[in-house]
Amino acid sequence: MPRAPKISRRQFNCLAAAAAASTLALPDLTAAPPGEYRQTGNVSGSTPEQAREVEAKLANIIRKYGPRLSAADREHLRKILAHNEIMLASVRAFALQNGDPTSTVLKVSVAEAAPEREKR
Amino acid sequence: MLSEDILFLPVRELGERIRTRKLSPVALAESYLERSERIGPQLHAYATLTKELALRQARAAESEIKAGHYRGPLHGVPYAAKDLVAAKGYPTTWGAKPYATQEFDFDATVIARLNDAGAVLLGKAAMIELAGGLGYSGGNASLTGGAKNPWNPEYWTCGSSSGSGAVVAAGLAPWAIGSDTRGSILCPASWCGIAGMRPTYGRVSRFGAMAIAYTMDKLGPMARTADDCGLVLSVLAGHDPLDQHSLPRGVAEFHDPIPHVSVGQGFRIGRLTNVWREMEPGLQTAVDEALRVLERQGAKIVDAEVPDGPYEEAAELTILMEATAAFQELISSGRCAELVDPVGRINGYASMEFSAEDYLRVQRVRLCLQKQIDKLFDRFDVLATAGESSSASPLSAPPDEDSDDPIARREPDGISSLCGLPALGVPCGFGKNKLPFGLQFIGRALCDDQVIGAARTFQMHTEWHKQRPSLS
Repeated sequence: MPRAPKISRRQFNCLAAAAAASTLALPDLTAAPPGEYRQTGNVSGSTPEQAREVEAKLANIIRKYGPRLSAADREHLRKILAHNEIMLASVRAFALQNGDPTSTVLKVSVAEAAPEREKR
Repeated sequence: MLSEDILFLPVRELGERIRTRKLSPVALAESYLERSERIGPQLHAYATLTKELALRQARAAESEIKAGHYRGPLHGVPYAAKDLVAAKGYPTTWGAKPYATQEFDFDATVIARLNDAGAVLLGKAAMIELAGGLGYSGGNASLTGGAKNPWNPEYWTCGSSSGSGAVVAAGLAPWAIGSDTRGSILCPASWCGIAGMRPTYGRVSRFGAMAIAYTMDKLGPMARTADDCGLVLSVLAGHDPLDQHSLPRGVAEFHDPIPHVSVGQGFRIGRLTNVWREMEPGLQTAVDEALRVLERQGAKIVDAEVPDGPYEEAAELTILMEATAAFQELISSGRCAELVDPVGRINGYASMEFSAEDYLRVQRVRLCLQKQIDKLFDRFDVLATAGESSSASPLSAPPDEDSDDPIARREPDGISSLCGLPALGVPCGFGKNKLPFGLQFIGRALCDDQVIGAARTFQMHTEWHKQRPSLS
């Protein structure tokens, strides 16, 4: 993987706008010292549901690993989690049927590719 | 010491001179080692030089060939291996501080195959820490420092096969093993002005190589020419029962030479028009000029569009989720804090919040996307586009997360990596600051010969791959 996941300024502007429109009062976990939980601010998210999801996941991370994380780490994690939610939303928007299987182990299209080679 | 003209020869030519005893494997290894010791540290190209082993293997090759025991086209030919591939007796650091003293008491399958072929291991090439498995934000994310581009040391080589790119471009070895989970061979090949090939998923065994994403990791060659990539692939490829995802016997093998595949009348190339959001000025012109070279050989060039879909998202999510499993102990123990890059130090905590349903959803979508892309190959033998959207970035460039770009969901590396497709990048010109531009060909699964054939034909009629940087 040549690059880290990208979180664009444009996306953050969108996220910030959505957060500003939201009436959710959620904990500002980045401001809390390690291990503490203070409810002080809004969170960013493209939808209120996503914002809640980001904060819930951040709270869970802090519950488990809080002493390891600085305020800057927490803010950075919030951005990463928000980006992950955007990617998940994109994948969830792709229509699937009940019978669509999983590629838990990727199988290349052996049977379909071989005849194509033989044509040449 | 041998001249630079010899050290920049293609693998096939070096092998032929060794076979006919016009070139001594010992003299060749000594010359590459001298150059690697002199120039390698300037570029942060190597993690470890395996000098003693190289000289031992070179002497053995020389004796065997003299005695009439010729093993094949890589016999006596030196190479470097990305430092995520286990080589018995030497550190395998994965480019990361928590593994700085790690050693394995066995060889990875690719190293074993190369030992059998009589190849000469010069050293372990530097790399981005954990090959970027836990994410990273810039080229300095490596135990050995940021790899510097031989064309201009102020610029990066790209990653994660950053050292492999520098080694080959600087003429420190004729070829190197790289690994590619999502673009880690193709991007350094493009930025360093060399050939780099990601084979079809499962063709080359990953046993003994660090895992990032089990369903996306590939090993492949980085060399001077597409022809060399095919030659090396013929040695690396083959079924390996030690790799769960290895293609079956009879399918995994790759045979060299491949004279039946070259671009001629009726070869269909899809010129991708919608995969990059923006490109460096001059790059599309260089790609189009390259395609005209193939058109003159009889290829039919037709514009092609990738259907919309969350390719990039699915690729990134798969890597994040599988890397979290691969590095679970590193994350849980907190030793990820020892990584250089601030993203790598914390990203695993975020990825641990994905659910099993998330993972399975991504893998179900992935199959649909795979079928969607496979249909494109009913109309085309290969797809072609730029190797990257630009020439190299400065090593001191700000982290990607400060960019103003939304998710580019159809970038070709995301598509072909997600779907296990072969791809091969070669140089096709120069952009700003005389940094190389790259061209890539993407093929249908198992049609590695088609991408090699297209790139090889292009290089038979152009000279870009014969350019080399000025180094001293």
